[in-house]
Amino acid sequence: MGSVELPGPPRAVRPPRPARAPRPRRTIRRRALPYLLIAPTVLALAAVLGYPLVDLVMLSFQDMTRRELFSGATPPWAGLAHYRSILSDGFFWTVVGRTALFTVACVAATMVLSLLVALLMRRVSRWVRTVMTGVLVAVWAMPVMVAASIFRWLSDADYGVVNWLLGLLPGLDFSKHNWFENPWQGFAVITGVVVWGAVPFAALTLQAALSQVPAELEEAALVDGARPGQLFRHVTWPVIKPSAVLVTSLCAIWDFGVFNQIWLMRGGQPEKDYYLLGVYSFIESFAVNRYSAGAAIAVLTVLMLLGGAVVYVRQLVHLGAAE
Amino acid sequence: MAERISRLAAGLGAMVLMGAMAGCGGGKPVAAADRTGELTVWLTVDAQESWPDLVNEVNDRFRKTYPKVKVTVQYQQWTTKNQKIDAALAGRKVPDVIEMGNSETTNYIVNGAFAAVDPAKFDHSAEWLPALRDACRNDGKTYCVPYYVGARVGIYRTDLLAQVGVTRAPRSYIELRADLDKLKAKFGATDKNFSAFYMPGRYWYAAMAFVKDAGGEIAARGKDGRWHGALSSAHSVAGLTTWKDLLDSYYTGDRSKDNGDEPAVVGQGKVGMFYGNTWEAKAATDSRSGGDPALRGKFGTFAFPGPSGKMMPSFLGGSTLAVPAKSENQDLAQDWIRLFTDRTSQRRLIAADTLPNNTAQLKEVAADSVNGPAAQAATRGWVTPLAPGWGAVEKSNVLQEMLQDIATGKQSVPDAARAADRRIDAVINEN
Repeated sequence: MGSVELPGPPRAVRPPRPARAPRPRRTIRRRALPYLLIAPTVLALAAVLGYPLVDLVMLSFQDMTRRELFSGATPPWAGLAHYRSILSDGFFWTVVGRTALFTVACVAATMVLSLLVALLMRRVSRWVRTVMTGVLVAVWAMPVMVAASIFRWLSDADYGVVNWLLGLLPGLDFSKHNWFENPWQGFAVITGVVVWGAVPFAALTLQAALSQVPAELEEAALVDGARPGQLFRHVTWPVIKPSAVLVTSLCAIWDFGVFNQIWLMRGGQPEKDYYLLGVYSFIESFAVNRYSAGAAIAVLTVLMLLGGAVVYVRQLVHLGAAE
Repeated sequence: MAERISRLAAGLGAMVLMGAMAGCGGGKPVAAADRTGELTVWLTVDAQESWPDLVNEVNDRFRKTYPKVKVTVQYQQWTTKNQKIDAALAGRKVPDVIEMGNSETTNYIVNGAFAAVDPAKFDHSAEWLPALRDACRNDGKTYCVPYYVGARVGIYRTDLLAQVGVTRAPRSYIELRADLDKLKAKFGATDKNFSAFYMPGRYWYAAMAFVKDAGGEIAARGKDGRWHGALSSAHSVAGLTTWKDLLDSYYTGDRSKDNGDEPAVVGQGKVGMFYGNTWEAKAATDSRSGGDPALRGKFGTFAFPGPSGKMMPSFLGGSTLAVPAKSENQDLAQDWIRLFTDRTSQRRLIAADTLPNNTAQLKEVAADSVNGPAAQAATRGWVTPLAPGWGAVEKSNVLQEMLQDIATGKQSVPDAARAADRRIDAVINEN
């Protein structure tokens, strides 16, 4: 950096270069400035996110019942008791495994579909692309509540249009078929809603990334005789990889915490087979009134997500170093 | 900087102190006409939909005694009501009167959420329906006031039954099934969506009535005072099996549903008979609730005959009114409840096709009225176990899941019942 002096803008507006001679007072003040500027944000975050999080962690180490909730008394200290009973409960690990599987399925489907949509958008004519963008934004703007209700009606056993459509195929009888009786099929429908809602964001981000791939680079590769697969792997993919990693990580975080779609599709009364970590924590807290056990499940969920976030950050650092 | 913060803190501290001192003022008794303040009442939407005049009337009567007290009535949905109540009770600003279902009260009472009331102040308190009275009692004290009750009855399409040559409501279970067979033969043959009897798999109030009729129980209290699930007892399993048989024979719809949209489904016209609250017949003809106005006048109600030979024991779903222990206007709140549940108000409820909170006025419900069979059913009613953890059993859908597993054939009746008992045992004794 700075080996070649470029004719820059006037000195006065330029940020000061690192001073060689110590100018203590002014430097301190200037160094403090960014911190002062970010302080309101940090304080707001601490108040809005930090306080509830600390409260949640505290709650998970206490034994909060409704008696304490209603009277305002401090709940007794429970130490690690909740964590011990949750971690030794086989059902908890079933839910963890189910959540992980669900996340992987949703993220994989989302990414593959979005990549295909994004690649398609490069090929189509301008107005088709505009229409596609409009449709994607409309889907993105659709509230989860509405989307989940519509999917629920579509897959209704008695009057659902899905059963009717499948029934039109020769040799298939789907009348009265209940999609939620078998949790695998039920989760397929729920995955459908989640993926349907996530594709727009992923596709538009990937499409933006794809527009950064220089056309002459691809042409050159084609001239050199690269096959389409090779072209994608060696020219296109490296350019969009950072965006893809970002979108994958964000999707994974969202899908790991999916709650609304399941809650709404199961009419607010999910069967045990449909518990994911978010639903399980909510039921423990607010149906069974084991507030502390519910808090402990939530804390464990956050810890698992943090594990995922570490992988993501490392990946980003790795990508940054490679560039 | 540090100095400024400490000054700010001192200022804040002083303000908090002043606020706290202002909060503990008062003490002198004030004449009713001079009482000021605000009374917040949380009722469920039933009052808004079915007897809004009664609410206004009671507020007017209340205003005559306390002209300076402002009464605010807010309406809550059943599905979200308790979450709101929990959040409010955990805070400082609580409503002064709240409506609670009789299967919800016990947990709140044992956890000290409600203030005790003196039953002597209320009309007909000696004749309060046991289903509501017992749900309000704990350790000899009363913590809520019965409001109204509903009982389930049989409801049938008079026109459809007439088409198969049946002109009166069934009086025994055998007669009921014979009628259903006729309906099924005539209408089910041509329309595979026709249910002679509508009985969705998760309709636990109906299924548990069969359990009770067979002499079974949902849960029972042992000698040590602890509750335990009793669904896998021989009687309960027999009841569940009878229920499953009725469903297998006459119901064609989705078995993983509950009865939430029953009026709308019945309104589609493909149901011959169902088991429900009397108002559901009305709702099935009301386009606002998804019903069909063309069906008006085509429903009849009857006391549902149980398979045991006696009348089907109906779940008495009712409401009570409680005063939160944190309310600052407990005496005003009790006075409002007194007016809202007195003899005059109860008469208004009867006029709105609802059952009153006491046995004395239950006799005023005309036997030939649409609610006559319900009043009859209320005499053989049952309530959910008055256990501290009952709310948790209900809200974690233990019964619904068991019934769904039975209805869909995923599990045999005894297996599903045993699994449900285990889940009940895990939470029913917890506060």
